[in-house]
Amino acid sequence: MLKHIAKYSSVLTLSVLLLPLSLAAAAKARDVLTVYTYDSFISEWGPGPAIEKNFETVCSCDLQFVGLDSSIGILGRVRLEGAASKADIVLGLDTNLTEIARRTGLFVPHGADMGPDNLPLPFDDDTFMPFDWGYFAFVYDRNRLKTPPRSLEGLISATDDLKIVIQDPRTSTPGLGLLLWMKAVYGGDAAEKWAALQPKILTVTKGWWDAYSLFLEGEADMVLSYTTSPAYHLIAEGRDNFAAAGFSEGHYMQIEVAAMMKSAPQPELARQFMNFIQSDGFQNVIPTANWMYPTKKTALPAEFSQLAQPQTSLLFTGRQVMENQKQWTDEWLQASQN
Amino acid sequence: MVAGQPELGPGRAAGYYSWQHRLPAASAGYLRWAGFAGLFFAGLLLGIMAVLLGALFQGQDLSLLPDEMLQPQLLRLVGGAVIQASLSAVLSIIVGAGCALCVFRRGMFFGRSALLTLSFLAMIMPTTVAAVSLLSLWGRQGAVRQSVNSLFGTDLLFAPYGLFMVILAHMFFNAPLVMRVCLSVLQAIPESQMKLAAQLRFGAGSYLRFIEWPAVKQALPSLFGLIFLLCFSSFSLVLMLGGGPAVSTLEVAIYTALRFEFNLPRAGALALLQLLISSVVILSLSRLELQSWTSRLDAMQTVPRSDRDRISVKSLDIFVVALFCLIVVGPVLSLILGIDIGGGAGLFHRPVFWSALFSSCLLGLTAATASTAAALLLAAGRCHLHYLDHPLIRERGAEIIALSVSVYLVLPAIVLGTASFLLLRGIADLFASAFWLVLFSNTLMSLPFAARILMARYSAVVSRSHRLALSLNLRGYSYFSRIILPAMRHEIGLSLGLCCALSLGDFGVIALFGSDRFQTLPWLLYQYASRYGGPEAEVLSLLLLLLAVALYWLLYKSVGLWAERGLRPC
Amino acid sequence: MPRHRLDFDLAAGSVLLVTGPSGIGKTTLLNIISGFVAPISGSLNWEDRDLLSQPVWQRPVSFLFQEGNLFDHLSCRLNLYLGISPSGRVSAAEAALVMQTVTALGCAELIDRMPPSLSGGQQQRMALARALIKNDPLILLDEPFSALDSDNRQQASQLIREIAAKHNRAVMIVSHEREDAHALGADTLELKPA
Repeated sequence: MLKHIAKYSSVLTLSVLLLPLSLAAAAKARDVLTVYTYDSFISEWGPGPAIEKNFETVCSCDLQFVGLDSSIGILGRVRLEGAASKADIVLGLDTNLTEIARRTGLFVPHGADMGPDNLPLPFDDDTFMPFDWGYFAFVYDRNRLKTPPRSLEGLISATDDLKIVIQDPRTSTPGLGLLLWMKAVYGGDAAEKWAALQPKILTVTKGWWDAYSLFLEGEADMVLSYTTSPAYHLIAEGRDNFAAAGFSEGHYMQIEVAAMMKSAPQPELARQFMNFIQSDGFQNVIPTANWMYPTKKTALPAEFSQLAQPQTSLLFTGRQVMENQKQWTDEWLQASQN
Repeated sequence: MVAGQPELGPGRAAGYYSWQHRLPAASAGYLRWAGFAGLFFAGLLLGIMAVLLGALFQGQDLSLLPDEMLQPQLLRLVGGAVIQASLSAVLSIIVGAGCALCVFRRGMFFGRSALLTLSFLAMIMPTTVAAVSLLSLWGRQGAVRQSVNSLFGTDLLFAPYGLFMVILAHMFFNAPLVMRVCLSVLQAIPESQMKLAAQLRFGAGSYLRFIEWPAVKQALPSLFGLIFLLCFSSFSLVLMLGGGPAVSTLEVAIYTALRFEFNLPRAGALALLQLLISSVVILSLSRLELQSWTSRLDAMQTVPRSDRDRISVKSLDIFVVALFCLIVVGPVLSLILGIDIGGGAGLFHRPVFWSALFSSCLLGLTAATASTAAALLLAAGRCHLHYLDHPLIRERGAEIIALSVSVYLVLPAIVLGTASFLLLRGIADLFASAFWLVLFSNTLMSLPFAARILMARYSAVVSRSHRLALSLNLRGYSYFSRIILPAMRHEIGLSLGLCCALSLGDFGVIALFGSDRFQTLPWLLYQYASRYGGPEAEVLSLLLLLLAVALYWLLYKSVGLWAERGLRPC
Repeated sequence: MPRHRLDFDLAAGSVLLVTGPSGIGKTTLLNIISGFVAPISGSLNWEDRDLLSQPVWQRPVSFLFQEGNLFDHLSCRLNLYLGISPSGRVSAAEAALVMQTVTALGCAELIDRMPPSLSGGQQQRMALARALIKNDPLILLDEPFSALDSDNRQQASQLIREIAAKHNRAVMIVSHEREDAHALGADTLELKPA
């Protein structure tokens, strides 16, 4: 019988060997532009496939996305690879990471002539090119929560019956967003406010999905997410009972950026892609595939007008974040462990 | 029968001279080679681990290591994690073993196989899906909590988020494993013992004290070790249900060091700390006797029991099985019943689903084969160590093998991923090798399970058969293929099935390497879920479970049949 | 599946030897009497008690299997105590009875050993001691001589004969050696293929 096993396993091994080879062989013909991004960007219903198609029609090249586990994962990856990286472009860092990324010296100015014109704040950076943005917000179900808090202060001083679920600032982008949001609104009093918020925090999850499933399951009244989250439920599911609570202090922003590697194997294609980011072929895809706001004034679906529109946008510079992140995180840890 | 006269009987004594009597060197040659090969392989695994860990320290000043590892804040965290993991392991064992005892006592009853199958599903559920299902019973709005509330007017249960909820979730994942292992150990009790007990009119207490506990307790050290290590390194579940950063594990710190601080030596130091603690646990348990997790759950004891019909015993059994169901089976059922299958049907029209399905099956089958083969090699090494001449090798060899089995449990996936990346970056095309890296990681992940299923059984088969085999001149490969493999067919089938199911459900390192060419079902599941997944994510998680069960049964059954065919002369 | 019709009586104080070719169902007969197997039809009585309606543990029967009559992980002493009470706890008088019995059977010095360290014959004798202590009027022995050479066989037959007479027990012995009947002073029940 072992003979059978041996035969069987060699067939298996052979097919396994051939799998990566055959896949790799398919893509030799044209110049390849390699873009590192986070994995949900390139999923079938994410913006990746449409953007790939649109760019390939103008560049006559082969755009290949590589999906990594998170935006911090993209940065970690290119740092590990250094100048030997295959990446031409990284797509999906956010402003919290730009300063750290800049200091690695791995990125070069993009030199693109088209800039964003749809950002609520001025954003001027010769290396990092914004491609979409959004506001962090607490999302709730209208049927379950009739009177949501109208401000961060209102949330903090609400009765302890109100349960929210947030993400860990050490492992998740929205989690870090809330940490910075609290700091932007309360500055030196943030620790105190965290302590006051503590009884309302049901739990602090590792990632967005864990938190959002708890919320959908009915465990929590509100979940830390984006002002654009209800748009998904409206457009993709036709449900209008979800809403983001607009807070009077303003909302912290996330701006997602792309940058070009100094060591890009295809610098010309990379530059062409950096220019492409502000074009319709990229921007029109963003709202209903990445569920964020585009950086170019472009036709938004009608449903987006129903979303909460923050009056004030809050944002620290990448440098401020880099210098203070560890201290602020420790402050949060202290406040939430007592 | 005259007292004092030597009476040489066959049978009874046969099981007794297992390893105390070594074979003469002339006959032990090939066994020594098997021992050497197993030990070499174990050393290789440990060597790979050391090189991987070393990669994080490349060109760094190592004198800072102790400072990194001995921060009071960190030690507090480790202490908390040790308590959490110990409690999780102990409670999983109590609930799982308790349920196994009751199921064993009841023999065949309505719903028995449903209970076994559904609890098997629990072991391989994706973390988030499992947590949400668990909360549908025990959470703030959960059915159990609501009914307790309406019954007593106040919430008498533990806090829905906090240490105990984390432990409950760990029980959900691990109690089924304990149940399976204990049940098969119980089924392996010789029929004569059960007949004897019935004649002696044992009560439930006597059964437990004189028969069941002596059998079950041998399996407990290795179960405790495995569950402790799994819970000690648990990450997202602990954060999700812990209620805040107060309940935490070392993995969170490692993640932070690696990702946010990009401080490789610090991550290495933390990984080393985790490795030290895990090694202490593994080594202190490796001295305790090995017990095979045999597998014949379908072979039922039919001997009548003298304790079965008492009302008190019946109600105890019902209570214990019901508790087990509330913790394990209930959440699985709530997932299955709550799924909107029509809503997720779009899944089947997506090519990515089919390619992920293919990759997952391929990965599961190869990883299962690889880890079962590796476990067999290690089992051979462990069993034949006695023939190696150097006493130090004999003594340390067992420890080396015990450690090598658990490489994946002592080294977090993210460290494994990052380190292999550091090592391989100049050498290989990592995108093309994503499959191999995931295969490697999945093999290591299921190795502790495979080894626990195969090791002791291998020793038992050899001790029973090797003298006879030698006298028939069945040696080396023919001994292995003609005697050992057929005799171990159930264990091999179980190992293949379980390893396949485990790697099928593992998210592991795939996200760390990243590629658009190689996608698995769990990866796809996270993709759906991370963008408001909806019904597709639910249907996908159900499919994942069904696929795992199907492959498990396919492997388990087909290997059994295959091996039986191998018994015939050809 | 072979079917047999059987009809026999067994008196206290007597020994009955059951013989027949391998696979004929000798052990099954003992299993039926002790309650581990149900007969297709028929009746089974002991002193006007209907045994078939009773579970194993209520029948006045001690059944010694071919092997595995002792719990290997318990000392012989505890194994014997279990014949008196399922909890393993005994009074001083009962402990004395145990010592008396094992002394009579010539295995007193083995009582604190673990069963696997005993030879097959010693184990059988220990199990027989427990059957005596347990005080069931009917003792079933499945191939008790298979582990013994011919000298020991003689001794053992003698011992069983004494037990039956002195303790007034009915003993049923399964053996494939018809010659054992003589040493045992036993009647023979021979099972033949239908």
